[in-house]
Amino acid sequence: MPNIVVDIANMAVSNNPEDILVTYALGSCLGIVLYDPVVQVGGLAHIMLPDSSLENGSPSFNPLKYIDTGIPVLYKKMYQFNAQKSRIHNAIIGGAQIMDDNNYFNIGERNFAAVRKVFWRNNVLINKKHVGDRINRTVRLEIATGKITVKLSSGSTIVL
Amino acid sequence: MIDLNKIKSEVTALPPFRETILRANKMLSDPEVSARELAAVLRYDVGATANILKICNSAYFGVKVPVNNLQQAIVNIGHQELKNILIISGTMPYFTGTQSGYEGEYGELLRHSIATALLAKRLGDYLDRPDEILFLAGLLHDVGKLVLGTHVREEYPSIIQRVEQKSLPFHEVEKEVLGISHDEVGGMILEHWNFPEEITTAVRHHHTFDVTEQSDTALIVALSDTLSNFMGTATFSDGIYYTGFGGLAAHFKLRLEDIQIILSHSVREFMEILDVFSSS
Repeated sequence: MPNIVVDIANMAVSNNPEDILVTYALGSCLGIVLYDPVVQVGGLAHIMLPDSSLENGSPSFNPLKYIDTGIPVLYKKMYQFNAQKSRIHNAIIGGAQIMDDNNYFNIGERNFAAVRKVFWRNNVLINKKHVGDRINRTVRLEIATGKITVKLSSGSTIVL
Repeated sequence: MIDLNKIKSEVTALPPFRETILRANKMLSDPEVSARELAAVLRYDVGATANILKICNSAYFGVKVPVNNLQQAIVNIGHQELKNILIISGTMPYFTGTQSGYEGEYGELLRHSIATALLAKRLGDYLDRPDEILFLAGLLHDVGKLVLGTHVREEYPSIIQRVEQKSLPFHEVEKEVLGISHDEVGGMILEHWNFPEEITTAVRHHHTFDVTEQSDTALIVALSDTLSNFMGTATFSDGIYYTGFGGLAAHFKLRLEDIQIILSHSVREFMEILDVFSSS
């Protein structure tokens, strides 16, 4: 089955039932999964940082680097494939903490907090999540079924 | 436990590091070096020549007429960029074809190594400690995994179980279970390749650094390795299981904002480099 690899600060949306979207080794980054079961459209983004405010109007700004700007871009792409907001399920995966003595910056936690803020402002609830802790995660989304699997660095694979 | 003599013989069995790459790299640290002199050294390295021409003709450099002359390509690319390209193309053959116990399923080791090299170079510049060897040291910091990878694959379940249960850093359990850790093996490999002491030390201590003892070069490499976790480019199996990030960030007085700026800039550069090398 064809795998479509989503790299850092990037996304993919598909309605081809043969496709599996995958993003590897999330670390503190977040994988944002969206799926509309009625039109069988799925999207996956791999986002790195919480807040685009540090960009300061850079000319080569890539919205998919940041949660606050990346999530809207992913939703808009879903709408282009005839997905509807009210039908879209979401899952948030990643946001790990590195094994550190004093949790210096907590970028993983900040990323997840940024998701909650964006969703709250847009009246969206988080449907599924597998976030935090000291786990590296690889995420797969099957377009045909909407099935989401998460491979963990601790060795196992789970279905969300 | 593996027999350490076995590791030693695996290290000495590695083919030598390509000398043209090291020679050209050294020449490139002289800003006055001419494209003609560089071309004279590089034209005997078929792989490097092919990569330089390919990159020079890629969309990134936006040339209108294809360049097929090595010397012209060197002029177009510019010294700094050329240095990165040369070092990566010289190192790539060692990474291809490995499927080690550190990687999930995606060959992350080369990606992680390139990301760490870029982060190290950028961190050095950001911290006002520009250093010619940071890129190479970052690229090679995990070279020990090329030898230890198959052994780690066999023992991964027991290593990871102990890492999780005891909250121990990965390289410590690696040493407990296998008798040696990948950072130590990396040091052995660079010694075998006769690399400069400073790079060898940085590689050997990228998990066992001491901020009061190690050079800034070694510490910047260690910090870059950790930062790759925030850029989605750590190796899957072990990347997250190391300590010491807080101490390093504090040592260099880095704030959250600094870290985010460095990551944000590095990711673009990373994607450009991947583009260049993805089809080679």
